[in-house]
Amino acid sequence: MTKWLTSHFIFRLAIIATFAVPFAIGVSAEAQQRTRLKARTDSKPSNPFMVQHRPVKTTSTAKRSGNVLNLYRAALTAGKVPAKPQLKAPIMLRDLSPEEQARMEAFASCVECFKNATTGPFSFALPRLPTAKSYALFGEEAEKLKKNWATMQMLRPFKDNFFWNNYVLKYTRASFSNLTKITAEEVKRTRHGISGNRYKGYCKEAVNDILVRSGVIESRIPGDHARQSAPYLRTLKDANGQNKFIDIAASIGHDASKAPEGAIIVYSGGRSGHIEIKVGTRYCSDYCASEPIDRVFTRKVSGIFLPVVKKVAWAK
Amino acid sequence: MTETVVKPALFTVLWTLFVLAFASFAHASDKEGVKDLQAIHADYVKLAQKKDAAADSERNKLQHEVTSVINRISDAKTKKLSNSQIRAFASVIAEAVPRDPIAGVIGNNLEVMRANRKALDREFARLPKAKRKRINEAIKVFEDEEARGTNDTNEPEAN
Repeated sequence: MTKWLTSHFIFRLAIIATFAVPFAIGVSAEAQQRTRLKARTDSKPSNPFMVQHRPVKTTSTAKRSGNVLNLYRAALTAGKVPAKPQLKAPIMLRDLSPEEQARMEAFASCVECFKNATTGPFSFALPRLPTAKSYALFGEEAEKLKKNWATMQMLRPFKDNFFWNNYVLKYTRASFSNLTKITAEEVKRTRHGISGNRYKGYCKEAVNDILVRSGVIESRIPGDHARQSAPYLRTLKDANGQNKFIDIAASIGHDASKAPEGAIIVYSGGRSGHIEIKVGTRYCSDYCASEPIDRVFTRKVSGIFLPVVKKVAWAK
Repeated sequence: MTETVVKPALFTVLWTLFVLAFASFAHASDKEGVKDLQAIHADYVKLAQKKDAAADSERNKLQHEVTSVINRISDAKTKKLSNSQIRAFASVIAEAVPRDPIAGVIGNNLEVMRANRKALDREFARLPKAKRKRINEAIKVFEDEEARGTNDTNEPEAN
């Protein structure tokens, strides 16, 4: 009897252990999962390997140079510093009448014209701003530096005057309205429309179609891969030996999302790279997406191109 | 008493615990990431009707989350997934791809998809025809692109 009881007892214990222990472990695992999910929904970093998409924290210019700005503001209120000079805005091509435009003579591309233009903003060749290392100074030296720095800011062209990019973009956009207007329709007429809005691996063909149809280039961009079009567009010249396209990638920090309407964006990476045109707020090639491709795959912007006006000179 | 009851009882309990420890680990690794994928799937379903750029951006973020989960849970060498993981992954693909013109979920997880192709195909077979077609087309595009040779590796790069 005792023997039977003991064996029975052990058997029952084994059965309980077999079912109860995994159940307990399972319950705890589930609870862990639940807390992890909760953490995920609360956007807390639950898993170190999971990518947490959060806005990048950037220190504002005002915060970084707070001391100097305060100095400047104090000087302004005390009346020691001259007020910001009122500068003439540069003349845009679209601001000129057709007669004025007709009076223009051809001798240089718009960028050079702007540099030579008398109506443009004044600019000085100033020494470089103190780097972050200089802030480590303290005592009299630091005060002196800050003081000089604030004076230099007076001499330096204001941020509002740095509209070189803006100028070029507006200028080209106005003169190449064909590109920005036609593309939305052209995109649909070409590869985009063949089998719906989806990536088909024919981005370069689609962009070629659009560019040739809208008259931006006469012949198609050669090469098998989309990434080959960056060096081609960079060196493409018109009959007068002027560059046909301007690469503004460096000036907007190689950020495709900052590209203006009508810009041709070329990427490297992957087998073939990628090429797309910004149509309105969308990025189109053989498909249209609301985000540039470097947000989806590991692609790198190798050029953001805008067509340049062939012959321009300032009338005044 | 000690010989007849306590010792065998202790032995049995410890032995079952020892065995179950491994069993429970296996159980956990099979289910790893499934809940995450299910949660992502639910987020995709929530976004299904929205067409604005913000929703697209959200979808893109979810796509990256899927990739990070899949990279974490797939076998380091063989890139294999368990059945439940494949089921969850397939349901995410079915929800994500028709809304995404680039099909980033497929493009970024091509290696894992290739390793589990048979099992995934079995899951895709249950989907509606249009969805299945779209998914297969996307896979084909990326595989073709990968297979395409490079004839100009020495091309000068900008930057």
